[in-house]
Amino acid sequence: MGDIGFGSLGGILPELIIVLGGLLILVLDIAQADRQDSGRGYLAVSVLFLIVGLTGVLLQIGMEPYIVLSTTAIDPFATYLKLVIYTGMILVAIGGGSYMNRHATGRGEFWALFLFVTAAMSFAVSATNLLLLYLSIEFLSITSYILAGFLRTNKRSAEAGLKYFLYGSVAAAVMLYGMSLLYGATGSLDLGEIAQGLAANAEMAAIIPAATLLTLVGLGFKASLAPFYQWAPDVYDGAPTPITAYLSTASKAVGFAVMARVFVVALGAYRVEWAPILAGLSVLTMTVGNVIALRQTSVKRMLAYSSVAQAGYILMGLTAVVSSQQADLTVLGMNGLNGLLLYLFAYLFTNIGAFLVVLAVEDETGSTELDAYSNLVQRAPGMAWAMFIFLLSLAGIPLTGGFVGKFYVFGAAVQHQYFWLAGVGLVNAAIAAYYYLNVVRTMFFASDGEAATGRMAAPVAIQSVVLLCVLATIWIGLYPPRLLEWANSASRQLLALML
Amino acid sequence: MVPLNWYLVLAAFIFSCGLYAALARRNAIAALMGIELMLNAVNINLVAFWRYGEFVERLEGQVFALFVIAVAAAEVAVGLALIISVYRSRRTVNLDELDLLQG
Amino acid sequence: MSASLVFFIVVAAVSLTSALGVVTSRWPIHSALFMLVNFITLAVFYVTLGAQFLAAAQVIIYAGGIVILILFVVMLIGSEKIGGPSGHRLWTPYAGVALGVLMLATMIYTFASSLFGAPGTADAIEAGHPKAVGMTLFTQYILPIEMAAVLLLVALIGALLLARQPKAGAQ
Repeated sequence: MGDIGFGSLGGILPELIIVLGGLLILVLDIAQADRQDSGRGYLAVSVLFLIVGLTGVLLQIGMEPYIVLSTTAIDPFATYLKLVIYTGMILVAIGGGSYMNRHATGRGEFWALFLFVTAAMSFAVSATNLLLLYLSIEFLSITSYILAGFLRTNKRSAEAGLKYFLYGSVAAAVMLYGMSLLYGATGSLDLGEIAQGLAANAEMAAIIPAATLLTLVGLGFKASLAPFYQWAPDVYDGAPTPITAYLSTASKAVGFAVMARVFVVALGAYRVEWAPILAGLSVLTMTVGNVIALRQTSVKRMLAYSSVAQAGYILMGLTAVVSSQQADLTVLGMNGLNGLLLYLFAYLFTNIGAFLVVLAVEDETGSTELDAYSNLVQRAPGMAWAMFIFLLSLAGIPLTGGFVGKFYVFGAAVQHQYFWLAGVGLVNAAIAAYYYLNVVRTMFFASDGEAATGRMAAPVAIQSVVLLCVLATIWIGLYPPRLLEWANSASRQLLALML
Repeated sequence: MVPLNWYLVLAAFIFSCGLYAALARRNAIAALMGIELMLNAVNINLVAFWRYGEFVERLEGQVFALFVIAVAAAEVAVGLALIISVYRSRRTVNLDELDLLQG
Repeated sequence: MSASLVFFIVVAAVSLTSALGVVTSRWPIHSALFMLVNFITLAVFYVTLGAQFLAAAQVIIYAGGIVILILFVVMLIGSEKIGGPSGHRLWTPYAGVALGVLMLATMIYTFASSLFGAPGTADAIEAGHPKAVGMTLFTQYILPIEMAAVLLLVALIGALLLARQPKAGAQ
């Protein structure tokens, strides 16, 4: 316990900076008193603090793993996910910030919460202790409930917030019950000690299935896996679009990261038992998401269901950590986990970009329905082509980031002998391509006579973030060696902890 | 002394009651109360496991229970605020009537 | 049967009855009062288990804070009666009952295998004192406690923002 002190705070400096930024904004907001502010200053301060945080995380790349304050790991896995989270939040802040500034009351509060939720996600991916894990997940959830219901005068936003709250709290309570069983079985809250405790006394095995399933409910909820996905379309649809953008990317990444850490580090010894369950959930999730997405007429809702389906593909990565034949875990080039990590990064840019295009169209036409997109290419050629790239990436067409992600998770599934899983995944990808291309058809070849009603002028902030997302999607599609290296070292480090 | 199993079964019972209320009640406030019951059931588990475990001096179960109480307080505050916010615009807290988001 | 067993059974009976009361009451206000009784019985269990500090926190925060908050809101808006069978959503009661029973059965099956039947050995009289709890909180769990502080701040801001009367002309 001798490591308590200012010196030990260096590892969590990025998060501390972000929290301080949030507090600073609150103080600035109080200083403003009653005068209404455009909120631009808060946006700038938030982005500045997020960039400082991101820089701090970049400096941590390549460090030897170590534990801060006995509950938080600074290791390649956490660092990689923090990169995902900070990048995503910066993109959302720049692209969606002005929308929130225009529509929200309480702008100072919004930006403070935005920074706090970033710090909470950051802690969640690095926590090695069930207590901190639960606390940071609940922190993330509670802040997200507030942000989803932030536009109080908008009935849909308020309803989304309440629904998210009710589903989310039930899932969190069920997860907590599972955690209490893990604690009871091993007498410890530390993930590593739980693994040792489970290995030491085998008569605890009876409690493991119950504990695993209950924990999976809460984490699966965050990652929007079937059968815990019902909240996702409603909340993604009703929440303000910038909030949807981060809920469907950064927040989902946290769900997968925590799931990976808990299952690999604490329950690694039982991998032969949980891998088939995850495989089943993966198939169920992608099928349900795709089948319902086919019927949607609103692009925002279609993207919401597609995001459920994408969660199914991402889960394939975690399933394929384990071979049905117990091959050596770390020698395989595609260990599943690096596929999951790559997928999360590629999906981040693609999905945030797609939701920002939705936001731009919503701003212009006031609608998220497919009709609003007809002949978009004449009104806003840049947006239409960007959306085209994003949809290709979501469908997994080569030379886009989505393809690299899918290539790695499918490759890992095949390498680990999950042929049926890869097969179902391929069929699903084909179904998904249909509804993605349907949007493309509407944007480029809509036949109805609704003539181009003048050009659509998207704000410069949205245009630049969308451009950045397009470039990043293509960059990941070209196999960036640096990113692959980071994902590989992160996944190897985590898998090495598996007993 | 009372066997540990008794506490665990009691907790399981309260948890199941809470789960039922959270899923089936159509008044949002009643559902919220169900969630509180679930959290309290977990606290019984945590404290009982702590007391009957090997490492009584490590206090982890008790500390976890304290944090659960803190989180529950935050959750209730935000949940009730969301309920009031919905009630302001819709004049109802009946979950069946909240159907703007469907499809 | 020893006195401690009898005591447990009596308190547990009150606790179970009140939990059922929360679930079945037709008036939200009755549910809230049943919940208060339930929370107090839990505090009694915490004392018998040697967690005195936690018992105090349970009474102060749950019984004194959370239940009062819920009662306030019930009186403000939700005091209408939750009717009989139609007081439930259409299909969810069946799902709720099924899940609840399934959960209960699983847990009883798990625990009944007497894995945890051995009574506690260590003497925990000292361990539940505020001093010991405080030492653990402010050494090993210093980071979570600071996070909990920020979380409560977030909840405060969020509750204020969401529940405040929207100003005319805002939006």
